[in-house]
Amino acid sequence: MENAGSHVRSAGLRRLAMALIAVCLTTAASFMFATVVQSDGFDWLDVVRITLMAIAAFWLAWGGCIALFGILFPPEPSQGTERRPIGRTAILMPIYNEATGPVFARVEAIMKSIGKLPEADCFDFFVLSDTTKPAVAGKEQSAYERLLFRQNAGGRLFYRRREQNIGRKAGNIADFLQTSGGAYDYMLVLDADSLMDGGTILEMVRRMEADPRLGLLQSLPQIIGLKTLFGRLLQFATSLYGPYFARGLAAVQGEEGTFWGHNALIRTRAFAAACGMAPLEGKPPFGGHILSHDTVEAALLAREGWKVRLDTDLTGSYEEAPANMVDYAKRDRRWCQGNLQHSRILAAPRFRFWSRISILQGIFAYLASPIWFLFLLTSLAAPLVAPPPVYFDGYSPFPVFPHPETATALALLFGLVALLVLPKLLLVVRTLLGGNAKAFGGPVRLVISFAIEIMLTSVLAPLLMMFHCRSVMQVLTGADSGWPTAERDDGSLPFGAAVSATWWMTLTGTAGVAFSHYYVPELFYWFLPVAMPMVFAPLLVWVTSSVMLGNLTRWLGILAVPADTRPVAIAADMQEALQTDLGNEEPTPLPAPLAGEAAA
Amino acid sequence: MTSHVNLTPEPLSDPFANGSVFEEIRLILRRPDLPDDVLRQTLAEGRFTAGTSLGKDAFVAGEGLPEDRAAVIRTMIVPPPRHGLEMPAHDLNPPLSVRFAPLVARWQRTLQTIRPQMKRAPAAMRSR
Repeated sequence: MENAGSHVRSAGLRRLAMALIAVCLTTAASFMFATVVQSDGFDWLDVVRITLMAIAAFWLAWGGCIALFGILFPPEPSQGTERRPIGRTAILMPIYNEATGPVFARVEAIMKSIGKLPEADCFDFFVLSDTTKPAVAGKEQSAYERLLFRQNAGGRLFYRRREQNIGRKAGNIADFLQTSGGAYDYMLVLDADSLMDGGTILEMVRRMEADPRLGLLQSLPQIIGLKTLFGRLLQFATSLYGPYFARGLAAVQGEEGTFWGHNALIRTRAFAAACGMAPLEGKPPFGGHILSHDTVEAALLAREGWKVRLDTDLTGSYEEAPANMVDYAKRDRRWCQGNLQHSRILAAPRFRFWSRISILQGIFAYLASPIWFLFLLTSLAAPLVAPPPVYFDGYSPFPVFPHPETATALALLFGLVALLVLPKLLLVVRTLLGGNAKAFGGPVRLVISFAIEIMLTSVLAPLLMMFHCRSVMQVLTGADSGWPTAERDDGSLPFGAAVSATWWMTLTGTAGVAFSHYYVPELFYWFLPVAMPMVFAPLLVWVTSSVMLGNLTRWLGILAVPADTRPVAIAADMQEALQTDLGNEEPTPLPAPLAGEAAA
Repeated sequence: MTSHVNLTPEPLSDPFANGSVFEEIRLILRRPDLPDDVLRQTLAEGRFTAGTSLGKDAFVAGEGLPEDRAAVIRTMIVPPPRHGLEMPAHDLNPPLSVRFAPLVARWQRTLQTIRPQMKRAPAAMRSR
């Protein structure tokens, strides 16, 4: 009990320290910016600019602090019991019109990995389908039967399909709990692109059994299997920086941790009792079923006194990610709607303080972009509405010239860039000093990869900002994203697709460049780093989705990740299972009702 | 004299009448919860694959070595356990009247405790 109390206290102190550091940095940045903007007089637009700047700077400082805390506070050792698990675990893979082959190949790989353990009989597998397309549903049924026969998994592998996907993924899990949940003590919730090693799953169950107050244990999934340049960039960044950011997060959130919706073990009875969510009043996007349910479920568990923990030391947890920027933006569009919807439950009764902060962070992850965009617009407009300089103030017979604040402006710019780059640089230095550089291609390649990563993310940042701005606008104007199917198999993009996704950015960027050139030439060069990537957005999106460039970086050993040199065994098993299943696949006659629907 | 009609349907002829196959399946699959009718349906619909050494009919007839029979049983498609949990739906955005109801009730209790004189006296008492 004393130990638990000390954990809570230390998390509280860290939160306080993080907030203090972020506030101090924000104050300094705001003060410097106020000094710069008042040099040509002070008006109401400057107040708006300083406010926007302060909010955006706080967000940057907060992110920097999380990385810093990840370095300062290594994960506390967490041990499970050594004995055989007492409880039974259901491994759940909810799917929705996904590519059938890879989904069942992943299930097979996980089954094989668990099958090697002496405790294999403690685990059952469920493929929970919300598929709406009859043809896909027919393939799923057929793939399920083949897998069951191949693995002799009768009584251990189950397939269930809902005709209507009420409540989407949360509704899918709830349906499982309401029909079969009582037969299991724990459930491991996966995503359609998740892969987890059997040993890791067993360790998670042991940790859950070692702590009876633990309601949810989240692992840190690594991104694997991406071949495009954008994908390799994402893999490199999450592999190198991700663990430290996650540690920083875990250090401050304590027992009110986070849930990312997949690759997490959950105590079924706690979840069923605490995490049922009534739909919000009104229509989407702000009403209806709660879309991004994971953060809310973590908050609900914490509200009922259950621990929600992120254990960053758990390896063997993997996921895939969008391979190009358009798919990434598409996924962000769904998440944006879900997170903005959370504004209605920010004041939900009895939520813990940090749960509210986590929800606020989720909202702000998407509001930060419009804030930066508004800041840019107001900065472009400010010189036009600025009062003319007063050379004779009436106190001096000599003219008083405005004090140039170029040095302060440059210092502020470098300060903000440092907030973005310095935490990453620290992590690279730590990797170099810690002797772990070999996993990233060696010291030289690591430094080159770091430089490329900084360059590419800086160039792509304005595009991401514009995608977020559009998503927020769509949500605020009441457009429902409708949760389109994630196109996970798509790697590279044709140039036409890149153009159709980003032509409006090119127009906006060109208009911005022209405007600044004619009306505010003093800001022209300051504006170019943001505007030029927007002008060339289609080209950037197309080039970064190139598999050829991705393969080239792999061949050169740039943007290397540990999985490049040490292939992930379970991913290899998955590929093997996919090939085996493709070889055995036979056209399966659809059941009568499905065949009718398919024909229609 | 009243004649009673038996409304209970007559059981169908059952090839697994002694139930030993069902017990065997439950034992191998470690699913004591599987009812007879579900297993009967599984076997009748042939929702399992027979091995090279043991055909479906031979399996149903109770033939074969225990390990061969176990291998066949492990290919059976059976339903998942039926043991549901209740999942109450929590209202995360209740109206203000609901949200502040406990606070209002506490406030009223406190008022009654510290200021009992605030209670209005009956009219008859006042006029007296």
